[in-house]
Order: sequence, then C-alpha cells, then structure tokens
Amino acid sequence: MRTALVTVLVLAGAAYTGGDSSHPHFDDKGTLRWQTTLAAAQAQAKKETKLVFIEYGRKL
Amino acid sequence: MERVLPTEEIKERLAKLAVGLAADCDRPERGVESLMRANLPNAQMLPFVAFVTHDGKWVGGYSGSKAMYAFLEEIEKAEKTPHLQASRADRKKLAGLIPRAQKAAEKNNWKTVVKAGQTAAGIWGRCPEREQIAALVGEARAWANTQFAEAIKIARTATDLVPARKLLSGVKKHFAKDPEAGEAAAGLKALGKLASILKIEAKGTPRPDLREKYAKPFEDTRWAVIFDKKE
Repeated sequence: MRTALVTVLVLAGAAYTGGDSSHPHFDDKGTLRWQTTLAAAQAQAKKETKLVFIEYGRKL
Repeated sequence: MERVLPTEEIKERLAKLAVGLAADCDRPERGVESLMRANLPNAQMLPFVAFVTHDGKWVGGYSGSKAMYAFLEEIEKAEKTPHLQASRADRKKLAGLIPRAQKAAEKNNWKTVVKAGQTAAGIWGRCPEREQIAALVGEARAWANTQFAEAIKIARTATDLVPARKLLSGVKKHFAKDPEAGEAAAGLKALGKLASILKIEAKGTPRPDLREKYAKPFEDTRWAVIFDKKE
C-alpha cells in the first residue's frame, strides 16, 4: 500500500517536472514551449532574446 | 488562459515575445512566488500572470482571467518594454559584425556568416542589426538545405557517392557546432551504410531485408529515403 502511494506521488511529481514542452495543466495547441522551473525558462529566454511569460495557476 | 492562448490573434505574437513558465501555485518555486508577491501584492484570483525578463525584471502582469482582447493589450504593453532592446553599445558590437558577414555571404563563405551568428547569439537584445545578421544566417541555412537535397538526389540516382560525400563534408566544415553539422555527419554515416549495401548487392543476391536493416537507424530522418531502391 505504502509502495503504491509513493509510486503515485513520484509519478505525480514527474508529471510536473518535465523539460520544455507542452503546458502540464492544459493544451495550448503548441502556442509556447513550456518550462517548469524559473531557471530553465530564464535560460531559454536569454538564449532566444525573449521574455518569460509566467502562468501561475492550478490544475482544474 | 486555455481558450485564449491558441487563438489566431495571440498564438504567433506571444510565441515571438516569450517562452512559457508553467508555475504550479500548489508547489510554488520561491523565486516565482517572490516575484508575484512583490509585484502583484493584492492578487487573489488565479491565474497570476506575468511577463519578466531573463534576469528577473518585472515587465507586467495581472491576476485572474482575461478575455482575448484584454490579454492582447497585455502583450502589446510587454512588446514595448525597453528591457528587450539591445543597448547602444551592444548594437554597435552587432553592427560591427555585419560588413564582414555580408561580404562572406556574397562569396558563399558560410563559415564566416555562421560564426557571426554565433557571436551575435552571445550579445543580448533585439535590434535591426541582429535581424540583419539573422537574415544572413538564414541564407547560410538555406544553402545547407540545398546541399542536403542535392546529396540525397545523388545518393538515390547514382552509384558513385563521392560527390554526395563532398557536399556533406562541405556543410560540416561551414557549420561546426551548429545543428547542420550534426545533420551532415548523420548524412555521411548514412552514405557509408549505403556504400556497404551497394557493395553487397554488387556481389550477388543480398538478403531481402538488407536495405531495411541498414535504413533502420535513419528512420524519421531526411536520410531514410536514400535506402529506397534506386530510381
């Protein structure tokens, strides 16, 4: 039971810590490549001469 | 947000302006939370939305949902930020790269053009000078693509693969450290495999799955087609 719970928690965490790709909470139809950490987003913005667009929200 | 982001009016414009950070308010990163607290102190309605620079300067933001045209106004404001523009000193540095790159492009010396692009990438900020350099690098990339297409044509129609190899080696030489160099290296590897196939086929009856087997590592690449039977 405990192992199963840990597995679920790890998988839930993994879903939110992936690299850059689609938004983890909704489908933006490929509008942006999304990062899930500020450092990664800032590094990408610097590389591409862009701003960081932060969407601070919750999965519905 | 889900409905607004993919709309025609927003999609391309936002992608040109920013990269996305999907921040989970239930597991907030300290840096993101600090930015929001400092700049949207009275925010209550999710989502909290912000534009910031790569080094953490606040550009603009709001809390709660916005309809498409209201969100478009936020984008317009962010587009006008001086924080995205190159400084005068950096514009001068970028301008200094242009004459040499232009002359090089006229002579098909793409190595120099690519190098100018790499140097420009290390200088921050948007400006017309950067766009001029980007256009020259675009010409270099277009040239590389014509070389790839020509190499594929040769590989699909001729038995002598040396001219195709020469084309790809040329691209590799000009684009060291850029993705085109990797693409050319993959092409050279594929040509090597194709040469082995041609040798085996010339000796007699090859295995029926010979081409398929050799082509496998190149699936989903532009090089896969050279393993099809000769035209």
